Amino acid sequence: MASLVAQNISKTYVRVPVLQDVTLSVEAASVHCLAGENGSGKSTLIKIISGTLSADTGTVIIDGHDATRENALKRIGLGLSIIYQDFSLLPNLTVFENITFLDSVSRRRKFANFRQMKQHAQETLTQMDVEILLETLVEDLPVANQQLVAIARALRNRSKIIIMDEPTSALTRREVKALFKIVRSVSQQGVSFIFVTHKLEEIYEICDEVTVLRNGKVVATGPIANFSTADLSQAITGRQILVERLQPPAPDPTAAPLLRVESLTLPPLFYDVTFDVKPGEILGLTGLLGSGRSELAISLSGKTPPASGRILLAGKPISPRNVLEAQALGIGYIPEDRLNEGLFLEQEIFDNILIGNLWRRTRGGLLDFRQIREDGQGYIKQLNIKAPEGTAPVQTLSGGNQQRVLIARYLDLGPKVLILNGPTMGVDVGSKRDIHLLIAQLAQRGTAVIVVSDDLPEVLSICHRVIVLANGRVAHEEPVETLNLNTLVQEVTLES
Amino acid sequence: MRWLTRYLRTSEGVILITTLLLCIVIGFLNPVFLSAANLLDLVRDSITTGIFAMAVYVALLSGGIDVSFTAIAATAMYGSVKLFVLINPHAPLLPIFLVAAAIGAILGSINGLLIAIFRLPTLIVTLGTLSFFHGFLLTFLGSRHITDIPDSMLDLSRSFLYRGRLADGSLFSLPTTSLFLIAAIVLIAWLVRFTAFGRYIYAIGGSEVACSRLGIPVARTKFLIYVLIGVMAGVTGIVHSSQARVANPFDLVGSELNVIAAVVLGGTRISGGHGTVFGTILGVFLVTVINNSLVLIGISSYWERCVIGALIIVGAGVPLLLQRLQARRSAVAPSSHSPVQVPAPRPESNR
Repeated sequence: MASLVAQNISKTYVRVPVLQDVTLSVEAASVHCLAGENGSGKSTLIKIISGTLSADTGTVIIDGHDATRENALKRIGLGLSIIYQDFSLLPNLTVFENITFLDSVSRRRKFANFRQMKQHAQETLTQMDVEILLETLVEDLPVANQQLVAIARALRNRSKIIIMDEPTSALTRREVKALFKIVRSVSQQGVSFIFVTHKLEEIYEICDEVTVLRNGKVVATGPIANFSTADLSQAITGRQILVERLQPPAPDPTAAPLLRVESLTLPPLFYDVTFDVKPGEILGLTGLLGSGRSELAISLSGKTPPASGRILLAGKPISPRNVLEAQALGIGYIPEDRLNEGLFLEQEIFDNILIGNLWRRTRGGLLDFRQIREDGQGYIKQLNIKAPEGTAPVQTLSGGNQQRVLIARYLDLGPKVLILNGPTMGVDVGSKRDIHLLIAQLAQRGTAVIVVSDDLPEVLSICHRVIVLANGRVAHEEPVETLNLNTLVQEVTLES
Repeated sequence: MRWLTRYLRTSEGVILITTLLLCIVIGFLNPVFLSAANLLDLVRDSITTGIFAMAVYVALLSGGIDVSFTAIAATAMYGSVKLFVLINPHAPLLPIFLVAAAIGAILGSINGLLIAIFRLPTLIVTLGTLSFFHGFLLTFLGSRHITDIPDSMLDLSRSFLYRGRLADGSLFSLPTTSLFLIAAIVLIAWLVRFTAFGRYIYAIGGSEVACSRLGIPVARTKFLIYVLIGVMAGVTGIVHSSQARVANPFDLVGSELNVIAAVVLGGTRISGGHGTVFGTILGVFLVTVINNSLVLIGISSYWERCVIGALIIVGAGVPLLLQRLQARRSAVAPSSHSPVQVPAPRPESNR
């Protein structure tokens, strides 16, 4: 029996059709993937299912009840839970109170019974086979555990269907694996899940069935076994995405290294790291979370200078003490978390691109807006940023375009060495390819590029050489030509 | 012992230490400070600030703020007293309090409507109503002191729970009005901890967006918060006026920042969601001690404000600095984020 059916849903915004005759049917006790690029209509469909947005036509049936005319609260009561990307937890309250909160609200409890709440929360966590200390404040939990609390809250409220919006975007590979195990065991207890995602590997790992949306229409649906990777990525993007390697032009083998790192050590994060990067070379730096890959990159950015070891830039030893000094020397670092560490979401694209170098665009001490507009427009064209205009706030852009804005900012600083940490995190398949091409172009111009990523296909696709870190040490180094995905996965996972 | 060091790093802990140290130092320099007479004086002087602080604590906890409570208190107090002086100066206490509470509720509900229904920022709304209510009071209700307040209020000011005589013959006492402070503390402590309303207040202070997605009646809860504050302010007005034995329309207004200072000093975060009743009590006590007792050790009263200002920065700032230091340390040494991880035991379990 289907636990959720959204039938023939259509929705039009200001005469633009966002969803056209979309049908989504989710079997009980199954994991269903809703895939699609940004702007494909996924979010709109979720909003319609949740009841926060009404469809023009179509019906929503939750657990056998026609919920088309019910509001969001009623639908929660019927057993529908949505776990948003931000989890919507209450950060200042304890784990147990968060788990039981929804249940207490929907049962209209007037008084708080802490002993009972604890008991109920523990029951739910035990049912999920998860151990989290009940008294911890949610804001003190790691992200992965916050997500488990959100799932526990949905279960406690007797949800029969749980929709998870991009559930893995903030998790590492290992955490994703653990999450999938829990989802699997919970779904076997009769709960169905809808995973909203655009990560192909994950779809195969966890889902029983898949529905792909593109431009507001269902372009593929059915059991996952019926689709190959190529089928799915074509369905999602609408074009043939090459799964094979990008093979950026190789750097001049005789060139002297542009950046050389010798015995770099910062206990307890990384020890005795030695490597070099030639101009035009793209070096992949990978490893599990906690292997030191991010920490090494952050250290090179000048934020946390190493305790010992040498950094040589074009043969000359340098020791930047902070990010500004490193930037002045020509080392650019693009942070992993572009939303929090990189972009000013509410500010316009121009400002976001040029903020690092505004002083260069002044006239008599005042900002030269004509210059700013010209330069900004130049970058928008150069990086092919899709935006209505340069004065649009960055938050109106898609993930891929946001990332391009950030890259543009660092290009403007004219770096000799560019370190990109997780350059395509949370970016859809199509944009990912474009960003990879962009990185290859940069390298071609003589920049030494370091790509820090735990996305192994990405590393294989764009790098010339790969360094695998484990427990803060270089565990393996190999040119990409002799590597394939399986051997790289082994290197990364076995080393820890 | 770990829970103790950890507790002492919170705002509440810092203020607890400061209060104790200050009491010891003052008591050492001038033993009169630790006498029963002086301590009871402190309690009496903290009644008005204390009840106000409990009301402000609720507003801050929900992520809002209220600065209009003094104007509400003054208006409710003056309106109620004036009414009973006109119609029945011999009325018992209950109706006087009821009328004041009703006026408080009405004014509070104006705040509540603007904040909950029109979703205007709390500071702007209450800053506006502070001025508006007070202006209304002075224009329409009157601007003259009323010294012949109803008998029952005079009786209240003369009634004591406990009264003693010192060796030198001077009297000291614990006034009956301190019961109002105790009632306010118990009410708020019970409300925020054990009722759904109270948990909603915490939840809204934590994340309003999450609350509306969870189906928590955000607007209703916010509305009720400001009505509650209005009622508490109205009652406080009468308590204050009884203690002062005069209904002065210029009284109370102007002390809002002092009250908010006490609450913030007690560790309640201005951004909402965090804070305890005990911390608020400590904050009120500390502010009262500084206002009343620095004179005892020969420090000019002008210094009071400097000291309170410095304490706010220290009390709220030190825990933040400690937190940041810790965050930096953990940024250099990130804990392994295993997904199903068992966090370090919480302080409570070590007791």
